[in-house]
Amino acid sequence: MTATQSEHLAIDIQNLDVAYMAGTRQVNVLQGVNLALRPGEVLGLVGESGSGKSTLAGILLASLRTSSFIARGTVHVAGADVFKLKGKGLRDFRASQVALVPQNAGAALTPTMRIADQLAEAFRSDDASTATRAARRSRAIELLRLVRLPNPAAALDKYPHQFSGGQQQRIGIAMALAARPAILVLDEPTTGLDVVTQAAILDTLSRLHAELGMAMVLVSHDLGVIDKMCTHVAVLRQGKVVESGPTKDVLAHPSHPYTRGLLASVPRINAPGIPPSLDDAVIDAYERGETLPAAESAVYERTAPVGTPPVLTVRGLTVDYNRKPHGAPTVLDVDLDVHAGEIVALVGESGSGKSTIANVIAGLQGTKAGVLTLDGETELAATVPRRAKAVRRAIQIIFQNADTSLNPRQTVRDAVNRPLRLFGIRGSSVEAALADVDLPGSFAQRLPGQLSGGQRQRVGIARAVAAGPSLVLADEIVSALDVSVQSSILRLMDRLAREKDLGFLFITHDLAVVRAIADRVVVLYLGRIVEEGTVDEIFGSISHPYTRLLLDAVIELGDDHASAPAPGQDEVPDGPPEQGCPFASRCPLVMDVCRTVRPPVVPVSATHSIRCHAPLNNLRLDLAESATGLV
Amino acid sequence: MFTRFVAPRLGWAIATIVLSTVLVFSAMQALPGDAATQILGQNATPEAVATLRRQLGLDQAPVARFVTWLGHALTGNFGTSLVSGQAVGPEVGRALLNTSFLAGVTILVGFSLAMVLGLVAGLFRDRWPDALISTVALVGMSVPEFIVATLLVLAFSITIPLFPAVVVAGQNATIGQLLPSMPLPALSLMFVAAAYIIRMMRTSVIDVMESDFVHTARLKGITTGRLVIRHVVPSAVLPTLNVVAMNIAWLIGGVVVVESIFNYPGMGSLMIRSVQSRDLPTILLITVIGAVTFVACNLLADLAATFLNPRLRYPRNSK
Amino acid sequence: MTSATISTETVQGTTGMIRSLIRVMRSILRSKSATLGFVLVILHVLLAVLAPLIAPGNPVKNNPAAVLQLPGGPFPLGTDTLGRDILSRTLYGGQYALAVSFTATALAVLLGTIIAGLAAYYGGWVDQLITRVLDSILAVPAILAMLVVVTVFGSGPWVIVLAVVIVYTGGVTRVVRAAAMDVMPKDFITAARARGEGVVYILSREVFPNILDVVLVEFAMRASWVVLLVSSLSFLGFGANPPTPDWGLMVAENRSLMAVVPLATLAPIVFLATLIVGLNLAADGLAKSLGIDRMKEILG
Repeated sequence: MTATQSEHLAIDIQNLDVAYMAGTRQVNVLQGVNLALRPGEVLGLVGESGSGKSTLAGILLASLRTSSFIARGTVHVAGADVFKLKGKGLRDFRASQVALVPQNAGAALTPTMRIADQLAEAFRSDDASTATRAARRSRAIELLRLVRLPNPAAALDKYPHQFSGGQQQRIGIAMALAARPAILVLDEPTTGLDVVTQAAILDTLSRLHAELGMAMVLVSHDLGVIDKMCTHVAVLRQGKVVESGPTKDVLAHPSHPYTRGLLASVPRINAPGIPPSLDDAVIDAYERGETLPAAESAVYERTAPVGTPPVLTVRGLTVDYNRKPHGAPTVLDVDLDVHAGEIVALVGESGSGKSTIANVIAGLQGTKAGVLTLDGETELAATVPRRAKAVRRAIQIIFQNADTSLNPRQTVRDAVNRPLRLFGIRGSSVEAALADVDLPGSFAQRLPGQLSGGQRQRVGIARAVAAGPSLVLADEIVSALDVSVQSSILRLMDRLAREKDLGFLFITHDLAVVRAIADRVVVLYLGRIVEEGTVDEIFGSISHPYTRLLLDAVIELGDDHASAPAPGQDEVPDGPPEQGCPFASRCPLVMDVCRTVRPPVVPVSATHSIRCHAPLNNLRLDLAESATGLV
Repeated sequence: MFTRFVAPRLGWAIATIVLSTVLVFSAMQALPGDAATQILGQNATPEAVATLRRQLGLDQAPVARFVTWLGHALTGNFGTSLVSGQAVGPEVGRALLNTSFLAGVTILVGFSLAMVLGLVAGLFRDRWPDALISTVALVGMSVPEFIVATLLVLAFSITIPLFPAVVVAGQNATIGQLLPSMPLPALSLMFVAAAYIIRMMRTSVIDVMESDFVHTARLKGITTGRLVIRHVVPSAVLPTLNVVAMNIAWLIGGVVVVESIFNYPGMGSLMIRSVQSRDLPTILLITVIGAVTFVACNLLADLAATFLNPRLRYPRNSK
Repeated sequence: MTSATISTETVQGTTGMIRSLIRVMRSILRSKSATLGFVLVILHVLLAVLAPLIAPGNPVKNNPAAVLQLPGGPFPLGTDTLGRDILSRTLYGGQYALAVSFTATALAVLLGTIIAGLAAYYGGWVDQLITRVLDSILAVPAILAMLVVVTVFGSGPWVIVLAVVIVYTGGVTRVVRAAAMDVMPKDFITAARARGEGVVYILSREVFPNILDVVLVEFAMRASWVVLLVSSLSFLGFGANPPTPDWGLMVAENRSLMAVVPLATLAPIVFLATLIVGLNLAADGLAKSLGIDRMKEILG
């Protein structure tokens, strides 16, 4: 490609290798990357952790980690050879041509500066329209209005920490737009945000792109997000672009087995069952020019157990963090059952109280009211020290973050052996416990640092299952894992539930994973149950307005991506209201009664109930759409 | 502001001060012999000792004596020195004034210089300005004050006789008389105290330079000067405040070595003399002043941090 | 992961410990300044231990016939006012400071670590109480506290050890407590609590192994401060009693004669300074290779 062509492209990367030195060995982070993007196009960079996608995003702003260097190739952005830029040239390039929306705006905004100052700093110095202080303020307000931040004028004099995560992300976007850049780079802009907030931010970004027409590069691990936002996509694996092209073509007709595997491994809310996991051996073989049959390729559909006895019964659970006499309790009047062999999903956004409930069941936190019963007979004492050994053994926990769930100074053997010894379990061994989670016995000698994320999570499961529990509390156990590893952990969970008759209380915010693995679902909002039912009922046609909001906000591959939450619906209030329905402040169907009277439990079927004042007919999917339209 | 930040801390501060006086008071009770024998000497008659003990209130139980002392202390009466027979207050006050003067010079000149040096070292991490500054700081941390002072005397009053080696004016010197002999003790203190501030500032600057928000600000294409002044310094100064506070407390309450080397009539010299003569009232007052300074410095550092840190100044939920 | 890599990576638990030890050693040896620090400290320990073998004379014997000699002949560094050999006194001079400092530091760090563990484990009012009492001790100027202890109990080596423990345990506790507080909310501790493990198991098996690095750095750093403080005490006349050969004491004895026999002051100064520089460099190197921020340790 010649220089003149390069000038017409927004981005032109040729034969790029980025590397760092490990001792005397050169390790490539990116290898042979070729990318081109025309003005106005939106490029998605998709890949799993360690694929090099964030490094590639940094390169567009001429930013590399200090130990890394360009080993080969050229990078032209907006016509400039970015790694030839120095000093003022580089500053001017960053100040005018290309801007970054960072992954975590909470950490990326300077905590000691007011929003107005941070925005003003990003204006071009040669821009006459922002020459005066008053002009800068009005331009800042205009930007904040553009990104739909509520009450922009008041926001100017606040500091970053005074905003919610979603609002901080909006400010980050406004700051990136301040210099009217030709290219906007977004590094996982919605990761870590709740699903409703994510949908609202992405909707804002789509509108901004339509209005301003700049080229965008969006880094994401989420194929649904890429599908919704991007005209083009590049799939990265281990530093190489394995496939690129127009998004619709690549996603509809993937040519590389990695892309195919990635697409196949994504769980969907519209299709039940656990997707096949991605088989690295097959892809490595393909890269070498060989062909291997995939180990598993079909979606696996779990069947719920029938007529098994309850392992956990929760009645009237109320937890109160508040020390104030008037505030509403954090968790109010929760009833919950888990049967042997059953996987019950407890679903909610951050702040819904789902982890609080798990802590209470585990005996790590006291309650204000409520009765918890184990195996239908033993009433659970409030806290661990007052629980009998048999009870402590019967309830085990698996954690979200495999990095902190294992003691880094203890070998796998020590970790798994401890429950065996503490509870005096005979006839089992560390090796047997590892075999239960498909790990070889030789792993017993390793330290957690010598394991991959998925392997660590398996050890965490082995430690819990080794105790021989009847109930397992699984707190977001797949949300920190790459999608290709997720499926294999979900399959393991299913197998353990069947083979060992384990009851799982699976805590999660991810509805697609719920659809894949759960038998029954309990939807929680601000510490109150709003809906419960079998998995098919929850994903069926009659839903609580909150469940509907969550389902609509999920961004799925192949959706038409039409609906976005209405403005204002993406912000969760700080705490539950003292009376009425907790969802009233965000509900599209809200009535006067909702603000004063607790909603009744409305049975839809023997297993499905909804707590809502609205008539059931208004909660039907087809009718709900029109009802929403009236508001 | 007051009820939320100051009041609860003030409560703890007072409790801390009282508790530390209790600790020192109790320790002094374990001394063999008491003040009466101390004053009258070994050859005094038992009757004389008993009379004096009654006069001094030493025949009461220790708890009662502490309560009496505390009651008097609250009215500003800290008792009379067992050595000079004079009221303790004015004597300690004079020493405190002299020490504060020395500390003030050290803080104004040394600490601001140290902050700047720490900033420079952090910004030039692992390059020659950092290597130079960090080495100076390492030496400052490693060499005891008595060595620094001794070497300074060797250099600037023996080899090149620029400054007097000791204060000659004695215990009752005025500030004016102290002035000529100020440079060497002040330099010794600066060198030692600045070392920690330099290192803290350097570490903290390096931390902030690696933060997401500095990275983001840099990618906005702003100048380095603006980056450092607006984005780096405000966050980098915060953790340094505590080290500054600790050093101020040390300068007021514990520069025994430097003061005794230069014969400087401050709190440190007085402390040594009182401990040697077991002059409990003086020791207790010095303890109170030391503890008050410690607590006040920490309190001020907290308040300064609150003022400089918007996260503390504007909690998330207040509008 | 392929089966080949699994079989080659079978690492025993204990070998794992040794491996990480070797890794730390390697990273220390890679840094010139850290290596220098450890060499200096080891050299000083060796000199102190071997002083009886290598010192040319008796460090405490007065020699009225040879007072204030300049270097030369039987006195390589000259003699002091009492005619004692300065080289011998300097070589012996580390014994007192090293023995007292290391014992005191070890005790203070041990005690501080245990108290810190208990404070972090129990939290709530136990933690509050411990923190407040230690704050009150910290509020008494360190040198005053030491002087009081020495005045009350006399100035034997064990009294100095006691004084150092009283003065420094609070600081150690602050730092180690903060490190332990970071570990307490980790999920593996939650798992242990949910299993119903007791305080001894949780502290000794789950918490302490994860803060060992902080404790080690704390030891190295406090050691340098304690050496500094102990020699300052000797200098002030509250530490080693004459005629004990001790660097701080030697500087105090000879500094008024600096113009006459400068080496009598400078020799102990050089020895003391190199020891503390060595300790500081070693602490820096240790902290760096263990990934700990030393300045933050000071604050706790």
